[in-house]
Amino acid sequence: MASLVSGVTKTMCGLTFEPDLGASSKDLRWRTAVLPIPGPRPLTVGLSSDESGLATLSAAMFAVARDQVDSSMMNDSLCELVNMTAGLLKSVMSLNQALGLPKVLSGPDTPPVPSPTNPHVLVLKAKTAGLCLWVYEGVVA
Amino acid sequence: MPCVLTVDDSRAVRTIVAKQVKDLGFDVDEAEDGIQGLAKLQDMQFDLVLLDVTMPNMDGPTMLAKMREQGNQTPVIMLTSESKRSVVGAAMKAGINDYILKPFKPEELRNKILTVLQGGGGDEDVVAASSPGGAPAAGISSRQAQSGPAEGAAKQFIDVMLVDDMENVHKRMRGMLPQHLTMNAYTSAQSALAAARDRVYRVVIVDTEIPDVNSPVLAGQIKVLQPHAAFVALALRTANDQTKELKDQGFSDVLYKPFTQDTVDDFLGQYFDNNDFLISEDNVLKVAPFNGKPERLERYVNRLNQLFPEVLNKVAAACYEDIVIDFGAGAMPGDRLPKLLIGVSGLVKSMGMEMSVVASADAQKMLSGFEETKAIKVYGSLQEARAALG
Repeated sequence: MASLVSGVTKTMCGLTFEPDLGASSKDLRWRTAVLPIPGPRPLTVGLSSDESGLATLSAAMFAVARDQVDSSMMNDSLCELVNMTAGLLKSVMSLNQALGLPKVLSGPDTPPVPSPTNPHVLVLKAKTAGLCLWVYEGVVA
Repeated sequence: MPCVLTVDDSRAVRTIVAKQVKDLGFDVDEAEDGIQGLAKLQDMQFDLVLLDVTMPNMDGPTMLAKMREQGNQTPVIMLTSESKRSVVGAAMKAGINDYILKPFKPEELRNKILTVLQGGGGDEDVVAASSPGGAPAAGISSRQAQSGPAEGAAKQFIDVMLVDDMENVHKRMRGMLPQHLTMNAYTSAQSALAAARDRVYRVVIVDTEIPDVNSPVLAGQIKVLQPHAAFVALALRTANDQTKELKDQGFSDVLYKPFTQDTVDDFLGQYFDNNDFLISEDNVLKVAPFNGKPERLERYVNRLNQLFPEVLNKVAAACYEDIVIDFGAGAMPGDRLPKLLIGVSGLVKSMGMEMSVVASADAQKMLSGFEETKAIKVYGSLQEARAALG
């Protein structure tokens, strides 16, 4: 799972992530992008991060300075990262189901990110950013 | 200057793509979804569309289908996170030139863009695409360059243009080309340029010793009008090998005078063999029968051996699981067919596909006599093979 995300981020923005087994996902819930994969085996893939991490990711993706990153760029980067990660995940799982459209959730709309002890949740850490990848069976309403 | 349209709902991806396209020296425009993309295509002509699959409002496959319905044959490279076979396979059938799986490396994107813009597209693209090719060469106005081969209505398609002041060279070349290949020959730069404005050529051969004509400049001028053609220099063989110098001058290849049937055959092999020897229609590969003199059989088999890997790769890239190789009723003397198929079946297997063969009764008998080929499924007709595959 970590290598999937890291494969995406390394290719698109030069950031490598590794699992951070001791970390909590609490601090990484500032913004979340979810992508449904409806079908016989419905799945939802989510990526969450904090403001600082998202600014780092977005600055790298857009090739701009951190202070030039705005909220829409953060949303866009998170959506694209979850889209690419879900595409790879689907391929690894040999799922013959089409990807849905990614959606950004923040504030009270954000579904609770499952606990890091959940086997379907993975907290990842790069040097300058944290990410929480989570996958669960079913599609977020 | 070629102009590329990137259609993607992700601003980040559009930004990345736009940067790569601009770095290549091309213009770029952006659209957020298929609806905006179609509107942009109505407003102006693009040389290439980079198209995302999953987008709100109108997705990539729908936009592609509408483009083709409207007769817009602009080359398309699809960018997708979807490795789903049906999505990519359907897009290949709908006429995309290539696809890129996200995430992608910048160099992969740049290579694919260059391949399409510099002539990697199919014949249909050549006829219908606009005219990329950079700034006009000396002597041609930008307006003339813009009125190149791809504007609006389809132009007459000719296989070979030969520019040489010696009419005897025209006759000799015509005599060595297969009858089905079309050729226009010109003795002057003016007549060649006039023809290049009206027609579409696949290969342009320019003599390097035309009096009062700078051949590399002439080739450059024709290239503006024929951006998808291959340019071959026709040079007199001298003690010094001129190949590197001529390639540095913009020619992709050199054909030396006096040319023989063998050298012309080799030259044709690079540019036309695919059409002559091995034709792919979806997952069916039709092998042209051997009709030549017996001493040329070895060359024929060698050509097939060279062509199979590339053609099989294309079929595999279109996500087909089965492939049918149709030898028709043609005969291949001796044990050539089993030997050829031993290699091909190994390739097919390594690409994860299953192979069936259509061949004559004699060929079936021959194949059943070899341990390595007796298990190959052989049918008497393409219909039978298709029925067996369901």
